[in-house]
Amino acid sequence: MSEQAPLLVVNDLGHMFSNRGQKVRVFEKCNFEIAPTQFVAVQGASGSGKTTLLLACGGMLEPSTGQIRFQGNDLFSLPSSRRTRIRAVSIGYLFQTLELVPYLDLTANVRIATGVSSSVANQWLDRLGLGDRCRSYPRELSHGQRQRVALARAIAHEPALVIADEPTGNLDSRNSELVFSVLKKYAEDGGAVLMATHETQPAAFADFVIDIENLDLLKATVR
Amino acid sequence: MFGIVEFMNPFFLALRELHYRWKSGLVFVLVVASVTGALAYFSVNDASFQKEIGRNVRDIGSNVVILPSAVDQYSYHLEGGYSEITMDANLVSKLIEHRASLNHLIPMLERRAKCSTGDRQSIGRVVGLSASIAMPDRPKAPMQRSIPAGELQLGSELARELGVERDAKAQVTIAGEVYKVQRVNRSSGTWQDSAAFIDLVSAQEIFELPERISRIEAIECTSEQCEASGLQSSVILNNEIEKITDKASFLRKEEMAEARLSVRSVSRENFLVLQNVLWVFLGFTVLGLAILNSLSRKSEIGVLQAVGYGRYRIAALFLVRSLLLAGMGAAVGVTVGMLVSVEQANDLFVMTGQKSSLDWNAAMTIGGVAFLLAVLGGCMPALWAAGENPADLIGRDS
Repeated sequence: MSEQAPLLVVNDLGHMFSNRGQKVRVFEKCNFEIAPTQFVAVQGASGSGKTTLLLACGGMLEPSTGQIRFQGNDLFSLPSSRRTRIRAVSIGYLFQTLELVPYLDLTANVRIATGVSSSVANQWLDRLGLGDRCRSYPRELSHGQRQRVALARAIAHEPALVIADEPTGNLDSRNSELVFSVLKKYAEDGGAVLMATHETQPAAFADFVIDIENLDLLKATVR
Repeated sequence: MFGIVEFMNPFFLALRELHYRWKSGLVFVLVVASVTGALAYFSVNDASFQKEIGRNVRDIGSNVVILPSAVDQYSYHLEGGYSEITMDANLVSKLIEHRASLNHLIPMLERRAKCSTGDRQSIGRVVGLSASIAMPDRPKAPMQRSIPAGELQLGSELARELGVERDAKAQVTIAGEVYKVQRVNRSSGTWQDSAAFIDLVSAQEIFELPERISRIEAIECTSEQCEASGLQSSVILNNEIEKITDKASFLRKEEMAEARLSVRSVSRENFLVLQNVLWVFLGFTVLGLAILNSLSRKSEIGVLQAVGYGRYRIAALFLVRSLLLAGMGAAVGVTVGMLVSVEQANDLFVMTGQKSSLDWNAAMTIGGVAFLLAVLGGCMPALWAAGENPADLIGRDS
């Protein structure tokens, strides 16, 4: 465990949604902390709630129960404008569905993250193997390439926390290693990373693993 | 291409989006242009149409006659609308001073008198009249032009009696005064066919009735007051004249007056319905397209929120888009609609078509409404969507 003050503190988090009049519980009593330099993996079967947990931690989905403190602030007791500001400056999010803006070229897609200049955007694209495609549009890229653009957008403004939802989902092994190495290096340089993954052995690269289907065990082992 | 700071502002993002989705932008512009064009077309067309109708109904003739109160209307009608009783000519000034609901006032003095030309003579109705007088706040082209002193217009039947050919130069003597025939009028099928028309002052001189008149013919202008008060036109006019003088009464040519009112109101209502339909259509179009655009881009709104765009910045992006497209559509539509309408007016409106002109007030109104609708349609759904949690929007494009 890191000895620095925690960046993200998750207390008794639970979420449920309504489906045709019935309440469906996604997860409950989720507790963990992430400190700067930590690389944390979230593991679980498809539909187990990994994306929901990540969205809540990113301040984008209000959980049904519990509390998320980010940099000391209770995220969902803040006004939405403050939450937006926190997302702009301190959180980078890589969506599972990528969500690139179709009418912007790759440089511009990275630049919509707050305060990113063209040269910084291009440096990140170059680092992720897309240096020669900066003027291309998302529709001209393969899924794997788009995934790397989304990573560049999540990371280019150097947020305190990068949240990545299955960032290697459709990548070949070479590109998967590239993405892991970038995220790992980001954590080593002072950032924190929270990543959902379908990798079978996340413990091989993560400081700790949240098994969303066994949150009690997590509580016992992490806190 | 753009500076570092400006590039990501909503204006440039909107331009990028429009460049990328130019087809949907073009559809927006074309639809707005079509509706605003139709509105502009009918605004100019309506004004031209009203002018043409006004001219036509005016040419039907006067529908109100103001007579001396001493005139017995039974005898008056028995004599074919003729009486020798006169009243003070300054009643015209009083009617104008009191802004009576009348226009195109024509004071007249008439007498039956012997008209002769060479070896032929006949009794005719000699009518002295002035040019029609418009109310100061209701200026119109004159309905009756003045007849120059020393000249005369002959009714077709009187001309036949006197043996005056239609285009021949002739002179007619009345009460010892010689008048040059200015023209022989076409047959009107009324008493006017057996009349001779001279200017009012000349008539007052030869009949030795200075400052006297037999009657005032006029057109009523009571439609707005009738709508506002619910009173009948005759009641309104009667009340007005009673307040001005007790030495005159009025006679309303009911059928003519009602026909005039009916033509005007039907044409106005017809255009009003059409224009209202177009206004509603414009509202639905601009609001609908702008809302559809916002709903179809929910995911994008979610992503922009996720990377830190506030709701007002997101709304600005959609606002810029709507304003640009609605502005272009309205500019094209209003310009084309008005130009086509003015161009067509010459063919459609024979009498007044050449006076048709661009209606800048209508252009500003249509443009202004399109602008407001674009603001509403662009901002409101975007503000609403930007108030949602990003996770509720991503992957939820409608």
